[in-house]
Amino acid sequence: MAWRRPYTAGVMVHDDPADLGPLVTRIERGDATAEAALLAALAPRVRAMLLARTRDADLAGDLTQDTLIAVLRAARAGQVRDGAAIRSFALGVARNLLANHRRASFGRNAEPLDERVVAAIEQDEHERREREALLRRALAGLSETDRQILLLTLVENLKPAAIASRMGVSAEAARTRKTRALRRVKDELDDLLRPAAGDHSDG
Amino acid sequence: MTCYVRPRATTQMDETRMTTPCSQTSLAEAYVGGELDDDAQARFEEHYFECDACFEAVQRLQDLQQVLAAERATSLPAFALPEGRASGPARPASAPPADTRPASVKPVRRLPVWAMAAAASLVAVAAVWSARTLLRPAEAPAIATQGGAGRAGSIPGGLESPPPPPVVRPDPWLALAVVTPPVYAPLPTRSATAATARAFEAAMTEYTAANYARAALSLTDVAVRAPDDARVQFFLGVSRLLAGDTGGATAPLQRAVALKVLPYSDEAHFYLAKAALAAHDRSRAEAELQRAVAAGAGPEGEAARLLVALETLPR
Repeated sequence: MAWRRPYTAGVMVHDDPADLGPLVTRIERGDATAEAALLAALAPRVRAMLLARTRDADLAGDLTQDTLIAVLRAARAGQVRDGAAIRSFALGVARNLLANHRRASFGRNAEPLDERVVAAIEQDEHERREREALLRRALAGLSETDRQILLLTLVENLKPAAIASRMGVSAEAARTRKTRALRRVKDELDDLLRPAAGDHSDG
Repeated sequence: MTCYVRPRATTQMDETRMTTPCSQTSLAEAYVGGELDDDAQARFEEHYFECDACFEAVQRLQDLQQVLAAERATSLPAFALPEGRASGPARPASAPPADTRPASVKPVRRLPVWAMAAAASLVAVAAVWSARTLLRPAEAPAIATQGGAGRAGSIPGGLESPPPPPVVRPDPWLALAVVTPPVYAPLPTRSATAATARAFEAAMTEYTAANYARAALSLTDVAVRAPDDARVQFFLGVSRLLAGDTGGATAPLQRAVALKVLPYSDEAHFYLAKAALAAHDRSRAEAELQRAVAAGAGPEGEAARLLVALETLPR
């Protein structure tokens, strides 16, 4: 699998195919390389969606595995009618599995693991650790106040008015500082990544 | 739409493709914060599954959440150890930093048979939990009896809580703010994932041992994984309060109220009042104490006694 940069300066670079449709066709024909590429392309988005909906990293991880297994099985069996829409297909599968999980009284059905799914998830996890290491460096460039505002916003889920009362500033000021802090993080990331922009190569 | 959407026609691997700004990227924050309604949430998901710019925004905000939560967790013990326990860091300096990130994806999720059997046995012997009775706060010391913190009560057949920290405070406000830890008894839940449940129980082991700063540290991590668990939010707030982090106690206690899961939503008012007292915030303390009185929250009659005592403090 190609080496992937966690973030790039201002944009993200993907090494997944622009159109996943041909991968689906190749999977149906038994191409194991295509399976790995498809799973690597889908895993981050599926997990992001499940994490946003469940806000539970463990559960999101488990359901991501289930989703990828179900998508892979469907692709192998030729059950994906529109290969080009495989992302939407995966999103639908993830939603269904989440709904099933919420309806179930005693948790989810555990599907047997597939080694390619495991590999895709481990790759996603590795990349996430890389991104978080970069973010920690980017956050070091922020003032303590800005870090506090981001903490209160993203971790404590406080609204600007609540942040304002806690920090003794106006709600508008809190909102502005939050926006500025998020922008600053992005700029810091861009700065961190810029020197490496020219030496990107596949592994 | 101005965003970059993957072209359907090409089949080439495109390593240098650039995303362009997307008008919907601004929705990422509300999405990650869970503030979009169901329809908007679904529409945005369908969008960012195809839009690189918006997916990157979602991913970055989620990464930030994890990093900030972890940093917060690791920074707590430095300032939040309760009196009598502040002689050293919560963790030996030589020890590797705790992995406070929410548990990552675990590719191998099956428990071995012996572990499943053990877990089943644990559930089988766990006491049936009656929420209201088992969340019974221990008998509190008399108001403003400095250093007179009484021994916490115990639950028949349940856990016995440790004595509250013997805090001596000359400040009359802080005397009212003395907190007696509510008793914790384990509650087996079906909804929690195994790892989260284990992390919660580990945190509560520290809590019952009166290691409140460590409990707060661990519960902060658990709360990131399970933000809608009222029990986690409640005990996180109480642990922070007991560890001296009164500012940090408010948000999880308010969250416990907002989640409207009894008895935590009621009981949280009493401890929010304690946080307000510690902050010398009379109006907030009065409001929370009145809610606590109405809900019958806190040790028997203490909310009402605190309201009376509050009146005696100079305005």
